[in-house]
Amino acid sequence: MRLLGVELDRFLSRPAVRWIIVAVLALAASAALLALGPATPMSEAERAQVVADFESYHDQWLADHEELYEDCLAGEAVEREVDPDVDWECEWALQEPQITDWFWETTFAESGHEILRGVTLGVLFGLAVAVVSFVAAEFSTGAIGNWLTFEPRRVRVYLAKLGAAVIGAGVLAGIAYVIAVFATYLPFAAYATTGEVTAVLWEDLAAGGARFALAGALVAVIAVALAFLLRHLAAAIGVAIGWLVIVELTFAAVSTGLQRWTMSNNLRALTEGGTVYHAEVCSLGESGRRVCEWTEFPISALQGGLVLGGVAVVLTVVALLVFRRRDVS
Amino acid sequence: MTGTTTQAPDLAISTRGLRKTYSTVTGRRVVGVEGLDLDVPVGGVHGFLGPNGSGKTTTIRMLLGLVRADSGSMEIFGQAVPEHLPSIVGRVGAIVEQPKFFPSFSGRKNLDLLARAIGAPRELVATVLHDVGLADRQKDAYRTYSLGMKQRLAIAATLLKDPDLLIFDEPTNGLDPAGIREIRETMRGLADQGKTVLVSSHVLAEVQQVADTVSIIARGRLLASGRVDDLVAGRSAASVRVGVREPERAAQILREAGIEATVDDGGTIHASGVPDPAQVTWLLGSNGLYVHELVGERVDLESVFLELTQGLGPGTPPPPEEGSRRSRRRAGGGEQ
Repeated sequence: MRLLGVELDRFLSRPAVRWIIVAVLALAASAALLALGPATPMSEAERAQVVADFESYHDQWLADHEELYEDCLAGEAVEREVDPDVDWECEWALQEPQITDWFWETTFAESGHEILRGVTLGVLFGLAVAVVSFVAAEFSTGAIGNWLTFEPRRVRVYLAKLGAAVIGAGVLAGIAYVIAVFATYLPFAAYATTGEVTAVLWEDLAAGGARFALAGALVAVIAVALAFLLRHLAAAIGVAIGWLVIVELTFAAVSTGLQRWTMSNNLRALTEGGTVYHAEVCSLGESGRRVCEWTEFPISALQGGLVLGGVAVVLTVVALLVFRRRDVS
Repeated sequence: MTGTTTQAPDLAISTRGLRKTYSTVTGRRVVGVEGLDLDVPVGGVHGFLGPNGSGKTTTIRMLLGLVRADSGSMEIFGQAVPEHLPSIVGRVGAIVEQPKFFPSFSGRKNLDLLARAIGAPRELVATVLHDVGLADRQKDAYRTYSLGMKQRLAIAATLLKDPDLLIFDEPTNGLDPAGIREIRETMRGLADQGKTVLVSSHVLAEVQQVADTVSIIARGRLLASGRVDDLVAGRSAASVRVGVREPERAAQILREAGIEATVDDGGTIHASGVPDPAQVTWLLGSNGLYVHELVGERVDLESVFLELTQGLGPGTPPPPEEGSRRSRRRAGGGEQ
């Protein structure tokens, strides 16, 4: 506990970490700016313009939709001569436009979660940088060697830093989430556009905060492991960006089934209470031809937590083993 | 590595057959320390000398558990390390190479963190800062300190533990003469308090002024060890300046008797490896050459060091075979 207290003190005293914390909290507060547009009611002039635009579009639809539908069916029929399984879903042409879809007004109850998503990943990234900086600086300055002459038990040293990072990042993530929620709420409250804010909504937001704090803690565990393995902030950021570009974007785009296991999707699932990804699913149609279509797959928050937790555990074990054996220069 | 405690109780540090190799980026193995047997007696200042790359810092790092030894055994105060380092670390203070603290923290903050980590009383921080003369600058960021102040802060950090053994690795590197003297006096003062100080250094004159005993290593092996006075005195007795007529013929007679003899421009013979100066007068006298001057030549630690480590510095060819090195040790007297 003594070491943990010292490491927490060092985490919060480090100027670079303090600046990052300020930036992270400012980012969370910037949710107010994101909410400002949706929270602002439409003016009478804007409403009149929307109505006019809609009526023009609706008139066009009334005149064209049957023809559009027929054209669609005809095109589909031609295509079916080649591939009998083709379905152009021509019914879309018959769906009558609704004026409610043309108004962009929303409420906190409807859009609060969506607006929060605009800042949460940035907050987690900032916390990860703070944690990597906290650990890696000790290696880059050589202070870890001095530290180990006072406490040579490396497992304790690792666990103390890990504990400080998890507590620091977890608590800061929670605080940032609370700031972001209220920053989002305030513009809606100011314009009286909060909508029906029920106890269920607040409970939902509270659960989101807990998940976000958990995500912050897991990101901190991963960041500590990377820092111990790579010993330099730039190297850790480089590896993270390389992973994102090569594995999460390139490989997952080629092999869409991989998206279920990408870090970014699972992180989104955990922080957003579940998410979806789209993958191309192919099967043999009635004609015996291979038919492919994009299908939506859900990723639960539980899976997100388990995947991130698994990665965190594996990386921690590897980093701990390496740190125990590696020479400190 | 064994976990046994076999070291004599009057030794602060003992290593046996200590070996460490490193891999280069090309995969080649480089020997850092090769079968080092090192004994540091309890109390006093022990100089740990060797050319660059001889394995001094690696040895210190191994003793402190920062680097893993490939083989061999190490003990500090009779406790096998690194196995029992956690139980002995409170008695050991160390500064390895340049002091390493958190640059953005003040000197006070750096020491506060260390003091809390080892459970030392907070008041002790103020005391040690005062003792090393940093009380006035304690609130300044460490990065603003001069090298001498950094060294003093590092010494203050080691004193937080009130250690019985202090290890200073090249403590005077980069310091001005006043700083060097300050460090030297600090080391001497600590030794006078009954603590054991191990200091590795290239500044041999400094070591000679402060050290009671020394060990000289090269290429990771021990070349000589013992009291400074014995090492120097042994060399002094073995080297003489000889004044004689026909110096060239006299030098030849000495060389034929196995004594290393050279003649300088002034016609004076410098003979080394002389077991007994009387042998010189007898040898020359029996050949009709009568000595009119026979003076023992004063040797300092630096000349001992240079003689022992000749050709064993960085960039030199591989060391001589074990047998020839042993014969050189025997000729030196006073070594192991």
